[in-house]
Amino acid sequence: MIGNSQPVVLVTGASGGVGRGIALALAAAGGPVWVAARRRPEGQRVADEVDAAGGLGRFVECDVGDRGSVARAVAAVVERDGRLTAVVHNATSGLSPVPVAAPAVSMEDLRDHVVVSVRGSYLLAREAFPHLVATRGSMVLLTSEAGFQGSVRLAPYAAVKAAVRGLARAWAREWGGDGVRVNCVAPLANSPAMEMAMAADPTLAERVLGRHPFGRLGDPVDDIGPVVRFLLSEDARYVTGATIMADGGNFPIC
Amino acid sequence: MRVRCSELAALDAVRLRVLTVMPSAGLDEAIRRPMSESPLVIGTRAASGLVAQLGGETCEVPAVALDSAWSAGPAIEEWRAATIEGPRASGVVVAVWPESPRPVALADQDLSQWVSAMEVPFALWFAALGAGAERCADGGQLVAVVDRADPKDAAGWGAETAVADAVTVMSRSLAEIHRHRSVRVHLVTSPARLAGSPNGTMHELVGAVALLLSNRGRAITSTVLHLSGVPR
Repeated sequence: MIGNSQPVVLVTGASGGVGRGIALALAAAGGPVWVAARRRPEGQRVADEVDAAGGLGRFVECDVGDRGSVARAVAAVVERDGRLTAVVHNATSGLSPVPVAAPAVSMEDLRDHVVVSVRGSYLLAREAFPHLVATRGSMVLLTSEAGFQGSVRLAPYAAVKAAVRGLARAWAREWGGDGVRVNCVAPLANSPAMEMAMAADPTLAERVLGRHPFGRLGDPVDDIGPVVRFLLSEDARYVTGATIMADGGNFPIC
Repeated sequence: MRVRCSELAALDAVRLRVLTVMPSAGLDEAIRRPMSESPLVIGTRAASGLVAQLGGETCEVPAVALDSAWSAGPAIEEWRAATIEGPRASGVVVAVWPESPRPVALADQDLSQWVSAMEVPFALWFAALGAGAERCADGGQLVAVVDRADPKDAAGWGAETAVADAVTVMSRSLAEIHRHRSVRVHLVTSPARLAGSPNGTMHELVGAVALLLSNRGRAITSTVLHLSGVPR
C-alpha cells in the first residue's frame, strides 16, 4: 500500500489511454509501476514515461484473460521486486467502444467482453491475493458510468462494467479480514476508446458533454490517475467496496 | 380519476385485475386495461417453482455447459434466435436461475467453477433478457428475477453478485433500447435462494413480480425491487 513502504503496483491495459494515465500518476509515488499489456512496444514506451516521471517503469506482457499469462505476470513482479502491493485492472475488450444492437451480439463477442473485464478481474485477484495479503495491499477495478446506467449502443460493455462493481463489493466483504481492500473507479476520460466511441456515434459527444458540469472529459493523467493513487494510498485505508465516480459530476449517484 | 381498489386481495397473482379504474378523460388505455393475460415466462429449470405460480406460456432456457472457451456459444445464439421468433406477450418474466448456488471464497474457486458460477449465467441472462425484450409487446412490461445476496452477506458470492449487478444494468440498457415501444423493464432481486430458503419466499417473489407487471406504473421503468425483507 502506498504510504507505508515503497509501493509495487501492477496496472493492466496500461499501454495507452486511462491505463497509461494511471501508470504515470502512480509514478509520483516513486516505486515500481508495472505496465501490463499485450503490446510490448507501446507498453515499454509507457514504462519509459514512468521512468521519466520519477517512478520505476517496468513492462510485463500480460493477456488478462489467460490464466497462465496472468500468473507469469504476477510472478515476474514478485520475483523482481519482492512483493506486490497493489493491482489496478483497467484493461477492457477492444470491442468496448464498438456499437452493437443487444439482440445481435454474438456469443464470441460477448465472451471477449467478459473474459477481459470480468474473468480478468478474477484471474488477477486469484493470483495477486496472497501477495496482497502479505502487504495488506489493495486492488482497484475500473468500471464506468455505463456500469450504472446501462447503454443503448454498448450493452455488453455496460454489463461487464456493472459486473466488476459487484465483484468489488463482494470481495471487499470477503477480504476485509485479511486487510486487503478493493474498490472501483468509474472514469469519464479522454482516451482512444472514447475517441473511437465518439467517432462511431456522432451524437455521443453532445450526449456526454451537453449537460456535463465542467463541459469536458477528464484527463487520464491529471484527473483519473490521482483518484486511483488515492485509493491505493494510506489515506484510503478505511475505504473498501466503494466506487468513486471520477467523471466531473457527470453521472450523479445518490 | 377515481380508483376503486376492489380486487387488491388478489395482489399476489399475476392474472389479477389490478385496479378497477373508473374511466375518465385523458386516462391512457394502457392504464385502464387490466392485466388479463398470464405472462410469458423465460426461465431455467431451477425456476420451475416460480414458473408454476405465474402460469402462462413457458420458454425454457437451455442448460448449457460452457467451457472456458465458450464452445457452446452458438447453441445459445440458436436458442435466442428461435425464442425471438415467438409471439409477443404483454408481460414477460425472465428468471435464469442456476441450480443450487453455493458460496465459495475466491481462493477456493478454480476457473471451471468460476465459469459455471459467473460466465454461464451471464451469457444466458444476456441472451434471455434480449430475447424477452423482443418478445414483449408494445406497451408491455418485462420483469427479470435474479438472485442477489444482501450487500452485507456478499462474502463468498462474488460471482453471483457480479451477475446480479450485470443483470441490473442489462435491464437498464434494454429499458432504454425498447423505450420507443413503451416497453418497461424492471428487476426483482432476492437473496432467498442464496440464503437457503428457496421455497419460503415464492409468495413474496410472485407478489413483487405481479406488482411490476401491472399497468399502474406506466412512467416507471428500470426499477429494482430488492426483497430485503424476506424471512431467514
